[in-house]
Amino acid sequence: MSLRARLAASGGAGLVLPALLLALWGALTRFGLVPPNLLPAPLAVLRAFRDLWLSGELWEHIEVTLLRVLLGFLLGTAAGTVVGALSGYSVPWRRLLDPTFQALRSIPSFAWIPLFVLWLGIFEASKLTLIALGAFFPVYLNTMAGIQQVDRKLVEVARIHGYGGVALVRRVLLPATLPAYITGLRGGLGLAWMFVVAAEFMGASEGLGFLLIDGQQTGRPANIIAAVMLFAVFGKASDVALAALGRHFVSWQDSFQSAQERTADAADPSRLQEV
Amino acid sequence: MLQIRRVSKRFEGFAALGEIDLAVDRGEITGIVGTSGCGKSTLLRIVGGLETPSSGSVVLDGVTVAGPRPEVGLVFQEPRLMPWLSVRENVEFALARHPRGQRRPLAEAALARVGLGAVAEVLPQALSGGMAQRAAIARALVARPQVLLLDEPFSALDAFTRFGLQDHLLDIWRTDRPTMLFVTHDIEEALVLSDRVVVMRARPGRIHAQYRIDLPRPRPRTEARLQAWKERILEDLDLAVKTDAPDPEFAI
Repeated sequence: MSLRARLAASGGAGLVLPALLLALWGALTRFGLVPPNLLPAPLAVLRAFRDLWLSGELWEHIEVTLLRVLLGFLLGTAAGTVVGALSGYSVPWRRLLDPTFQALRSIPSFAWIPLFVLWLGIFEASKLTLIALGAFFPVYLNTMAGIQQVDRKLVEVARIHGYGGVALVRRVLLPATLPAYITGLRGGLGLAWMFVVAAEFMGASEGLGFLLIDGQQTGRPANIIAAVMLFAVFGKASDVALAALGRHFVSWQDSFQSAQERTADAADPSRLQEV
Repeated sequence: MLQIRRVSKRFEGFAALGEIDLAVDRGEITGIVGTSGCGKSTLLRIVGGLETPSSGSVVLDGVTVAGPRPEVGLVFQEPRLMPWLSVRENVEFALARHPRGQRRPLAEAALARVGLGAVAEVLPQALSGGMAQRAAIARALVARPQVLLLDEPFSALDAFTRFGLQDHLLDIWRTDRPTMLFVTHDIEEALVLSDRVVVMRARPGRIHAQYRIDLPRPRPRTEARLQAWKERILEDLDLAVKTDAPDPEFAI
């Protein structure tokens, strides 16, 4: 089996590029092609991780940021679900709510920061509000679109069999909306991670975003890179967890992606050999 | 007895159905044929309670139909199975009014009748078109409706699957004897299955002719009398092959 086929079979193809980048990074710093005050060596970043961890500081930052993301995401999701469900389910509610929310959506969300700080202060309330705002729109839009796109023909089948009101929502609208809703949740979580950085830039004293700013202001680039890597790890891990949870609930969905993965599997030479 | 009394339907100024009068006896199979746009599906949807007539009424055993009813089952052109429910759960979906404990055995029995007992627990996406439509028929029949309405139920299937399902439907009818009203654009299908064939024409949709098909079942598709009826119906629909002078409308 070729190396390429083996990598594809083990799902390791995605690791090739990071490995190459790491090697390049090591080489650039090892041979002094980039000054260490701009780009510290990989080992220096590892040392920064170790020092931050041993001092107990790292876990504090992680904990604070995770909590902010989680709370902001939950707030934004709750609001997005309620408003999206109302607008998707009922035309009068949509006419009342949707134009306003579409207008609000076109305001760059970071433009709210000065107002949030003015209204809610510099501490947690303004931060959580900003993160919630980020998570809100993907959830709102996907919930509304998901409900609107429910197959009218399936709703008709439900009506024939006497379903209406709560039973119709529970047996048809909810399951049919779930795939779009999970897409919205994943989008919302991604934006929550993006907005937590902005939130922690505005006068935080702890959190991974603070670690970034602090690294810049105190000239410790290794800390900046360590924080950036942690954002990548936690962002990806939380998305994978949410996607796995989603797949558990919508395993019935014959989606484009699952079809694509099946085709890739079928084209995988190692599989054909086993058969 | 199912009575359609002077039913008409207008959609935003457009008359889809003129005045339709039709009485169907209990246990009778009636096939409705007609070209597209003659209102045959609209008529079926009105009988099923999915549309309200602009005037007139549909009366089933003395009760006016004012919405979907458990005594009336419906099969559509597409299977319309819920993709997130297994085949069995899709059939159980039609048993919301039954006690919980009865649903599963009833659904399993209905699936066994249409030959889908082995795939009861799979998701609909794994079924072929013909199997999915059989599952839809099982769902429509599981609650033992008195009337079964079928809206071009086999038109999306290939000829072999279609013939198989037509025979299947007749088997079910022989044991359950539901009143069946089905819409099709396949004249032969109407003739093979029906006690009576109703021919509809468009603008506005109205009944043009009715034929009582008093041949014993099963009926061979090649039966000479069926072919003669088919010719007559094609003429009714202006679709017969003209052998003499060209129609003046199309003459150049």
